[in-house]
Amino acid sequence: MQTPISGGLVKNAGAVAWSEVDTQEAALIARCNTGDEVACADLVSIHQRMVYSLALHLLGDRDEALDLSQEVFLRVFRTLSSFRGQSALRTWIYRIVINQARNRQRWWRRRHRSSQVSLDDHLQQFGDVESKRDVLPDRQLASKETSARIWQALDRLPFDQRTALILREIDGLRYDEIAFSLGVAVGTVKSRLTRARQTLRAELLGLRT
Amino acid sequence: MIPYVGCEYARVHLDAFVDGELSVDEQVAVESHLRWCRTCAARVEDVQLIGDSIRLGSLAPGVDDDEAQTVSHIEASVLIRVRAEEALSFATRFREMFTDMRLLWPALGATSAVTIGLALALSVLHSTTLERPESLATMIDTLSDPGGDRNPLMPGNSARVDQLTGIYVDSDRAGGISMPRALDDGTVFEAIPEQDATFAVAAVVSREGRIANYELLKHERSGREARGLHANDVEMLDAALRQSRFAPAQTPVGRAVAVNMVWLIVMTTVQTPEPRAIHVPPSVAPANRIPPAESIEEVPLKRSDRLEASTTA
Repeated sequence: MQTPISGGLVKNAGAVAWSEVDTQEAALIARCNTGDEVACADLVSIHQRMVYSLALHLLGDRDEALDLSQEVFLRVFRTLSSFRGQSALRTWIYRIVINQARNRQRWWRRRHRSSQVSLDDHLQQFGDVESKRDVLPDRQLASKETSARIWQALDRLPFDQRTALILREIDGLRYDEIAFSLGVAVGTVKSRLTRARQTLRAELLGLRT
Repeated sequence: MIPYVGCEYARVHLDAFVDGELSVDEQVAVESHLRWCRTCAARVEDVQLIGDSIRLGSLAPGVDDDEAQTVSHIEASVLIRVRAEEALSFATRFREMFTDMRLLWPALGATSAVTIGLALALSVLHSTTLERPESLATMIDTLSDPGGDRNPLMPGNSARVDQLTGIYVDSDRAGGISMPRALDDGTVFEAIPEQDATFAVAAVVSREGRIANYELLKHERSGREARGLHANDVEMLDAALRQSRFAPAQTPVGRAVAVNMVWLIVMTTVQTPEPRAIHVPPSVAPANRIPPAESIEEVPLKRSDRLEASTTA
């Protein structure tokens, strides 16, 4: 069981780490709010890869993800003056990405599902991604075929479950950050992750049999 | 000492264990459980395999140079659009409006013309929506409201005094309506010269208990019908009628209604009769207790009074 002392130490360690980042972010945000173009360029440069990556995983289309990324940054600059540091800037931007993607994903999936890039096409185009990544030997089971099946099952998950799992597994967000990004409680994040993993595990078991 | 936890506890916390979201104590407890429970250990491996598969197949940017180039264009595109939005912002456009003053006067003229046109249109619209008193709509509206000030009721000849309430009641109408009852004591007529006079007035008593319209039907003074009223008398009678207050006529459910009625106003001067001599035997009534008859001064008493009667107008 967690003792109050040990839990407090863990949380304080995290808070110190975030506060250092917040100081830098606060300076950057202040400069952006004054209309400093260099600061705006820095902000985009720091977060563009992250934003594009999340948009791509949520929408599954590169052009759409690129367009969404631009929309997200425009919205960031429009509403940056209302940002009060209630979270890290990265998490706040994640929230904007998810809201924009949720709105766009509904009609996009209906109209352009056939034009989405399938994982098999992607792997055929770019080769074996596994060789470019640090995959542990005991994780060799995560083969291309397994990965493709898991992604197909992931694509069928409800938007909120899929988003929570992507934020956790790909972007490495903590539960409280995911909760803020999705605008829900931490308990809801846990239940969504559990349900999403149960669905994918069933797919995994079907793959083995 | 490491606490023992069973499968039920461990399975609830397996996802958080894999994600590193447990406290140190919980992490140690679940880890110790996984050392001997192969089922839960297999679940953990599956969850980790799912995470690895997702990361392996992720469409992360930067896989090739073209995509990295594409991502790097986001910055330039966003800055261009920010500048464009700034250029098209309201403040900027407002400033640009006044850069060329030649456009200002046509714009002001056009605005004035539109404003005047709107005002004219609204005034015409307002005048057409006003209801004219002789219009059919007004007549229908009046007829649909019996007992209103514009459509007063006309009591029948059977109006009588109710013995219980002491007020006039027109029993011909359904349920009977109470007739208007004067609230003042005739003081409003004191300004009229002190003579015996009779006025018959056809009047409409409104829902508020006021004389709305009236017509002088008959006028008599000192028992003789007057050929004409003096202008001063007309003014005083008019003022007295305007000041009169009534309890308005009411239906049995208590709704005040306007009625037509004839108001008979009779002003009389009452004189005390001539005192009669009292013959009292001296032994019964001593002279010093009964004043002599000649000492009683004859004092004429004057009183304004008025009577009301309602008949069919």
